[in-house]
Amino acid sequence: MKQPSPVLVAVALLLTTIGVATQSNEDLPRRQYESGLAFLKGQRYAEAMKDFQAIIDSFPKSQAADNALLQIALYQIDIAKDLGAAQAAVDQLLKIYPDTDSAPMGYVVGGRIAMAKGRSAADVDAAVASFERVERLFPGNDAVPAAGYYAGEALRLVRRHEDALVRYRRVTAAYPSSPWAARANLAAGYCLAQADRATAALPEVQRVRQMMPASAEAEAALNINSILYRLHVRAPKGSAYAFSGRFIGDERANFNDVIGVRVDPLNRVLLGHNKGIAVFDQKGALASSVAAQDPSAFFSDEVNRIVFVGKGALHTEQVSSMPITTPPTEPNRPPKVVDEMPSVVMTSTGQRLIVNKKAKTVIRYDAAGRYIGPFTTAINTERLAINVLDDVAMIDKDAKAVTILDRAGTPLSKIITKGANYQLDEPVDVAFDRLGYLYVLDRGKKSVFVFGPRNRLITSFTIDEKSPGAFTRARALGVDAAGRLYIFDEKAKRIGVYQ
Amino acid sequence: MRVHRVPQMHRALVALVICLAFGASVFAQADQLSNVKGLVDQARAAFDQLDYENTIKSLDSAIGAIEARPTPEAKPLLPQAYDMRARALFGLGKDNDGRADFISLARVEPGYVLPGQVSPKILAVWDEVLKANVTELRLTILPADAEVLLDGARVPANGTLPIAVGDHTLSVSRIGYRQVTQPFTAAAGAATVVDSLVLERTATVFRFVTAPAGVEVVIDGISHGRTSPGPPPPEYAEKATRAGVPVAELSAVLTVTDLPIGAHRIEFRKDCYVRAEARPTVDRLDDFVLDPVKLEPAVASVSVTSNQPGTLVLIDGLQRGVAPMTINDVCEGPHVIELKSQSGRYFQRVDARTGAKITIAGTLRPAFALVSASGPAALNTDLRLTIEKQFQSLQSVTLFAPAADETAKALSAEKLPADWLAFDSNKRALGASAEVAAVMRGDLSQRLSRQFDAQGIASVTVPSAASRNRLVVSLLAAGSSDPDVIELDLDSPDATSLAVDRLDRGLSFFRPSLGMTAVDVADMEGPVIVAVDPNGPMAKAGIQPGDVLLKANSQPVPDSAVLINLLAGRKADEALTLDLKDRAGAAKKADTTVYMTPRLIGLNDQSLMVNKILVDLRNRLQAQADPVTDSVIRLNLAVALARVGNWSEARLELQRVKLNDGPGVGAGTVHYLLGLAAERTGSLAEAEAAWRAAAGTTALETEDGLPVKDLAEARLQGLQRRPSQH
Repeated sequence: MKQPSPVLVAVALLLTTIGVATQSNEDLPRRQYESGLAFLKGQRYAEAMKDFQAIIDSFPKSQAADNALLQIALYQIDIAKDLGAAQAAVDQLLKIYPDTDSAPMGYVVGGRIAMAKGRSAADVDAAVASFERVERLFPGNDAVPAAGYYAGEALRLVRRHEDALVRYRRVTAAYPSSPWAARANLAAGYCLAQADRATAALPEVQRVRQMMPASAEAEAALNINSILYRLHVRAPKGSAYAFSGRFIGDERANFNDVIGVRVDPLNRVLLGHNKGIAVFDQKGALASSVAAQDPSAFFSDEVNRIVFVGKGALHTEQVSSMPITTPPTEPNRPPKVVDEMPSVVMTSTGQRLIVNKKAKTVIRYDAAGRYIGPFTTAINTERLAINVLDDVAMIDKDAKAVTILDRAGTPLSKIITKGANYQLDEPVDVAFDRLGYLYVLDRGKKSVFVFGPRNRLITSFTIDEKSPGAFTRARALGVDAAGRLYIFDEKAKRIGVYQ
Repeated sequence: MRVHRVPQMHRALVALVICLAFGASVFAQADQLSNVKGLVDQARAAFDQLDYENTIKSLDSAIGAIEARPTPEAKPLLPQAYDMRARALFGLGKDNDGRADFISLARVEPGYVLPGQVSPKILAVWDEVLKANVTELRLTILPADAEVLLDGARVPANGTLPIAVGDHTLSVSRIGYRQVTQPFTAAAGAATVVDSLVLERTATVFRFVTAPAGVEVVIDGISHGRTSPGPPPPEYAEKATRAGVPVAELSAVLTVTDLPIGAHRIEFRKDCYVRAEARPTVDRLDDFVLDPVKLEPAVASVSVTSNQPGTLVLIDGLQRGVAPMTINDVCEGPHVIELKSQSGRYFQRVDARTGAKITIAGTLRPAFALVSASGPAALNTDLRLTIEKQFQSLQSVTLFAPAADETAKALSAEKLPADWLAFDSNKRALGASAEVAAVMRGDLSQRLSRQFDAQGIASVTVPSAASRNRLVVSLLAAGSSDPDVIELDLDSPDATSLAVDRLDRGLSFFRPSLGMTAVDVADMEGPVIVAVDPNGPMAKAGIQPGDVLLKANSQPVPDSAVLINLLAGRKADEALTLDLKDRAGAAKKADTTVYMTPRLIGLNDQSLMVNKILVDLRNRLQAQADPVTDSVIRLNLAVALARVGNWSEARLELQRVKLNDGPGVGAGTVHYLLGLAAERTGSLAEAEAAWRAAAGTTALETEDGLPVKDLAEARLQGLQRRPSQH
């Protein structure tokens, strides 16, 4: 029998060894990657980033390395909101791993970073170009619908609703069963609502429930259509809202010294009062509370922690307190602590916009409480609301009007005291819903006015004083994801739910 | 007349010349025999007329030729030639020459008897010659059937025979015995006796006769050849009768020697016959003659039916007829049964067992021929066969790998490298594929599909050497330029299952509808109706936007998903009783009926396996359908064609679609698509007219798609923006 060549045997042995080594080299980073994903899911971000970084450092040639970089980029843009770090991760991904499965999504994240940096025409063009690159370079990749969706988002965020609609519909037509199509349907619903075509939005949004039942997107579709139904099907022939018969807490609730009501992204109802912040679940039961002495404003941050303002500082639930100051007006003087801060909102980039009541300004701070600069000046306001475009609505107490500014602080429009079919008397609170409709609670009129695109009044809602759920001395307003209203009435000392 | 005496030397020269003349292959052997016979006949005629000179002349030539080239056919003529010439010589008084010829005659044929009337003088000379030149040989040889050769000529093994005086060689041989060669000198006047020559046994001998012939005889695993066509020697007739084998089927005898002492296993093999076996034990060196071995046919019967008339049936690539048919001579063993028609193919691998009755009810499915494989695959692996196996559970289409040499030949004829249709999972063209223009790809898919009698072609690629088990299959329907790509991971059976499910995802062309749009709303008891088709059954039943649907046929309908499920199994005109409440909350009831609304695949839906859909729809069009169904199939086919870049054929199909106007997929949809097809084929005026027609309808792009009114208006605006072309 012919003996195999010694060289062949050696090569075969070498290949076997390489095979085993490769398997082992892939196994470890793969497990570390899965560990990182598990940490992410559990919101243990530091551990997750440690795992991902370890893969990049120790196994840069493994199949998990590009995925790890992508996860870092996503964390930096979505959670940490550190655009620089996100950009660095994307750059590294596209430079070192341009042909991997993660590269297409790298381009998507690159486009999102461009959009987060600014919304100038050049920013939008850069972002859209980055998104379009995905389809051109990776025509059959799963990231293509994602890129299409974000291209729509880039246009939507600069109010180019018709252009955005075209992009969204391209995604829904081309990838109807993709989760990105569901998101595109929802965003298309927003665009149609903003384009005064709300009834056309209804079936488009409903499609999400058919295509992806039991998904988060289906839940969002239910919420959006609930808003559209109330404002555009039930109204104007009937009242958009009715008292649900429910109160937050319970019917015997007796809330005193209330500073505000908010509904956070988890659809929890937050009630601020002089002893802290009470957190109620979606059914209205008290879930938790955060103790605080005389807080003046509050919100829920990027990771859904309660942040409140009090005694010249911004306090994050059980974590930290950061003094809120403004730069000294004269050299060699200490920064000036801001005393009265009746309202605060958080932007999509993590900035905090805080009302400085005494100075009649709204000031911009970063997530660490560092002063960035003024957002707007010369306004007497105690209530702010912010929408998904980072438009900020603020009640101008002096003018009894609502001023709306864009994310740069530039005035966009104003809801004046008296307009077509309405007159404001004593606006005390404002809130946006997820479709961008603005709700103004008017204590004097005992009504809620709902304004749509171009500040057109969509509907108003009030309840007869003698009827259940009447809010005769309304103080605060919250709007949840489904457009339900939560109105705190100082006389009843309760938060009524209206739907 | 002058008589020449030809001396012996002279005759030898004549013989030499004739030899040269004959031996130079100027004449073929047959010619030589014919010439010699002619010369002998010539001599005989001259001899009968007592023309001895010409007799001698002719015989000189004949004898010279035979001696120069003593062929078995010519040699028997030599004794009579010598005899005749001798007598002619005696007739001319050349007694010495005549005696010399008699001596030659006696040496050539010692047992020769002078024929006819012979003069006493010549007879005396002949007797004298015999006495001096011929003696006897007595033989007694065992075994008696041994082959005995005396000077190379076969003689009987036992008995007495005359031989020429002088030196001889006796050679005795027989299979299974040691050969004996014995020279001897025969002396005049005394018989030579070879008595009791017994050959020494050296080996066993097996003799086989089979029915039929052509059977391979394998002894102890070693093949000893095949039996040749018969007949065998007559003694086998009785054995054959005893074995119940028709004599006419018997083969010739196959003899096998040199089997050692001991037990042996003898197998008789022939394709399509049941193997036979014998296990003889050899205890001595002897002859063994087995009875004729009859092999029984090893065949199965295969009955084939098809779902399509005129389907060709092939077994192992050979056409056997048209289904339905039964083939009774399918040999035992594995076979590929193929059914083929213009619209599809079916194949099944069977393992035929003797006597089995195999039934194949073939459902012809559109087929993709796997024509190429590329990328760093494992050595000696035909990835096409791997893919054929991975996708063998497909129900709606077939992926098959034609013979490798056929595909190689086809690609070579088209001057295509193996990676001409190579794409990665991102549908990026790899290697030479990037150089193939879409139009060319469409033409190639058409030609190659036709060549392989398939409805489409396919390729398999390993995009990366880093993961060789990740394969990408690209599918092209005939005439398509835009492939579907499917990624498979051979390490993940789930990936294959998903791919199979994706390819098998069926199309339905209608769905039940009530003619309204309902949406889910939080805090509401049931779906809210937000739009009603003004001509539909809901409008006729008095349903209005804002009504809330509570129950259907007394079953609660808490949300739209329940409503969809409730409608899913309904047929056209089925009655439904609805419980609703109006905007004001007042209860209302409505009786309505279900109707069927057409469905249409999305023109831009990238999740569709559009090449698979295309072959599927073409196949469906072969079946008879009612006009509406036919129209809806054609409409879907048109969209599939448009998706793969074949707008001209799409346009033709659209022109044959007849649908009513109305909400959902309808005439407006067809107008819109006709506009797109007209624009793509350069007829802008026709496109504009079609879009204007579409803009006036309430139709949708697909069943859940956008209003074609919006889409058509956008197209019309686009036309207005290009005045130079319009």
